[in-house]
Amino acid sequence: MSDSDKGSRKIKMRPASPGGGNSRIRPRKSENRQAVRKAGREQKKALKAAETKDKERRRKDSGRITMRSSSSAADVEALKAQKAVTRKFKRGNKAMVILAVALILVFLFSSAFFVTLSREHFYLSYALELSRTQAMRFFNFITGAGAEGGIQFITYRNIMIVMAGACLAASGAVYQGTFRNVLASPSTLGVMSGGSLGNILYALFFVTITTGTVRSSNLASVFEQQNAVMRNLQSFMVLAGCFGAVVLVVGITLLLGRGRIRSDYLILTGIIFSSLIGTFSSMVQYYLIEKNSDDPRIDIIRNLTMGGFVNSYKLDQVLIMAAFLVPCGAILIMMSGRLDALALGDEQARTMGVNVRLAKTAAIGVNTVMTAVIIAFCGQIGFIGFIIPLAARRIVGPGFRRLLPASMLLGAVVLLVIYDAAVFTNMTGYLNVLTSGIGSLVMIAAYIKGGGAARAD
Amino acid sequence: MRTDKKKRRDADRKIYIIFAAALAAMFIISLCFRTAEPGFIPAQAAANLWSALKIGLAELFNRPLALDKFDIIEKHEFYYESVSRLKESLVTCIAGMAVCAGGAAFQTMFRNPLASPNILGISTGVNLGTAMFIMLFPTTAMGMLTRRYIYCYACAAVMVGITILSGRLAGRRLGRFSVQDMLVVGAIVSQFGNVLAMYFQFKIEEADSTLLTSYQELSMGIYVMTDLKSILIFLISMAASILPLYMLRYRMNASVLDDPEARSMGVRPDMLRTAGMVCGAVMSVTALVECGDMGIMSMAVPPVVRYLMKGADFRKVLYISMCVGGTIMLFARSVCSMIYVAGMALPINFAVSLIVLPLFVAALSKTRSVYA
Repeated sequence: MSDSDKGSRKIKMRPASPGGGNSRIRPRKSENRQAVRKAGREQKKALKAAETKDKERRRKDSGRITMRSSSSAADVEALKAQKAVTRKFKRGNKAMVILAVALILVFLFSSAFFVTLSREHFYLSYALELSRTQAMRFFNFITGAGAEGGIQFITYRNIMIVMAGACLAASGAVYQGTFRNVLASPSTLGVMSGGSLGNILYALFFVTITTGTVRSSNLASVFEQQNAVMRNLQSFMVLAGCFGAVVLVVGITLLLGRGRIRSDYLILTGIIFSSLIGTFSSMVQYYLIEKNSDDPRIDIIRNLTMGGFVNSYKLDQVLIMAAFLVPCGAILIMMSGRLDALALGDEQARTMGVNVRLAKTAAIGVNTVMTAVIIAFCGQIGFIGFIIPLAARRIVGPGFRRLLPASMLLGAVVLLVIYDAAVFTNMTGYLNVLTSGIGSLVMIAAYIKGGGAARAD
Repeated sequence: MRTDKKKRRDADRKIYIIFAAALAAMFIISLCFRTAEPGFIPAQAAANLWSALKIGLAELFNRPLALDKFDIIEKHEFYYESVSRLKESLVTCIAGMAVCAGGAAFQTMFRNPLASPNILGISTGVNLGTAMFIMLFPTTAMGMLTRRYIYCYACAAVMVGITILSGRLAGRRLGRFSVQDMLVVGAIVSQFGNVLAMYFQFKIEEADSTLLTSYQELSMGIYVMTDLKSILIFLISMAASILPLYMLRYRMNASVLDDPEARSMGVRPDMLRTAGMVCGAVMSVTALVECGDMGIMSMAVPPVVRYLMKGADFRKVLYISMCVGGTIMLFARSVCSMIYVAGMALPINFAVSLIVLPLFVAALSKTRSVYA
């Protein structure tokens, strides 16, 4: 590079004084990219210079074995450029710590804050007083001084929400990685449709409609005679529906792909299956309403599609959920390395020593179990598994070792916040509507701002 | 001398004739075997329709009519039934043809087997429009169904506008219109809109549970509007949207090429896409308003047709998918009117999905690549 070129470059550069010319406080993103590229170019140049020097050295003193420390100026510059690039990735670690702290804070806040926006009495003093009482009760409960005012139910509900949000987000991240498609979400394979099908079958065949006033007195004795399966029959049917749906969809995909699972066929089959079940569900609801508009079966069908934490007041429900979700989450975190390799493509992963078939089956199976359990206990909650992984990807990058924990934390925080909003606006029965509404707006905004599909990875 | 080209043309003509004959046969069958009631004579029904048309036009333009000319009304006991059956069959057939034509156009334009007019959020818009219409006019809703067209068109237009705008905004960094952005945004908007429609359903039911039945009847296609005004609107919009597709039938094949190559052949791909999307949207909205949500028919029928025609030539795919769509809809209408569940006929969208699904799976399992 001649001196005249260097000089001309200096003239073209912007003046550094704040008063003159373009005084921007923050450099533009394009400038950042240029700076990084410049650093990369200089690093390459430095490496090349070091390489040629090394060759000459070797040519000069061939035969002599010497160890020289890399103290030349070019190598130091190369190291500096490398550090500048890796500094960017340390941001991810900080983000995870912030997310973990945020989760704890939001959990405490949700346990204390329990005010519903009702028209009769919403005064700030009332809200603060109630929150203070709730906070005291919560601390008493945690420190073992006893539970009063039903605070343990709120705590169990919050634990359930945290688990549901974390596992939905994690399963969404794994789906997006396995299928390498931005549109993948836990409902791609038709798990949610299968759950609603199981629910409809339960409502149609297993719910007895008794008329008259004898109902309430009979109910207790009937309940005692049932065993555990009958008591939780709805959850079991929903679970069975979810698994059956996945088996059906994967089976049809294998049939279509002649023994191989192709991602586009899988998504296609999932879409068709969901559409069919949706039509069937609306038809069943139509006929039930036609016959008798107060039919309790309609509410049973509806509660699943709208989502809600209605069962969360029992500790054994929370423990059953935890018994399924915690091991599944642990398995997914242990599989992070293999999932990373899968995201590169089947052939690449195979050359890296990953058993592609086993990994894909394990990923889909574990995901199905997690999603099925969440649907069975909490109903359909859409969009969390779709958006949270994309947002987490922007924060911590696409590597699964960080992406899975980050999306779990972010999912838990987001679902807690949304549930608080639902409690505040008295829409706890329509959780699906809230998550879909907020989620789609956020998604579209982020998509537009982020430049679209070109930057979706 | 019969060259290969002539042989292919004759073979194609035979296939066209077969499918068109199947469509005509299904039309006549659907006229005759619609309900458990005894069938009637199509010629009589045609004569009745001519009289009904005259009466309808006279009512529309407020001309006095001499009823003694129309004593055929009193003589023939099946008059109203036959005329309404004919109108329903006509509407169903054309709606099916339009839906499949729209699906074929979208799949050819975007070279994507998952494309259909629903990606623009049209079915969601129509559902929301119906819900809004019922919430605004609770008691008189079923009496002024032509006004429903306005609401559904408006909501569908809003949805399509949001989708295309978001696609453009997202692709502005690339400086061009990105199809994938539109697909993703359309999927998100549709999902959100569906959940919103479900929420509106709950609110409607809380207000009055009989309203919910009218909403479901309108959205599932149990109630087909057969008064003259609705049919005129239907026919005019269908003609306005199918004709441009017919005129562009050769140029659509240029979508297979990249944009610069297509432009060098004299085809403007952006105008082609705009025209195709507008036509497909108008067709779909009209068909949805008349016959309810048909589910996956617009997405599933064109691949079947591409497998049958062993190629993706838009001209052939357009003709045959229109025939196939009309046939399937008519068959579903006939079969569903004969099955009575809980005292009323089965809604056709479930039957259509059930009929289309095995054909789709069979066609997909036999093709090597997803988009031939």
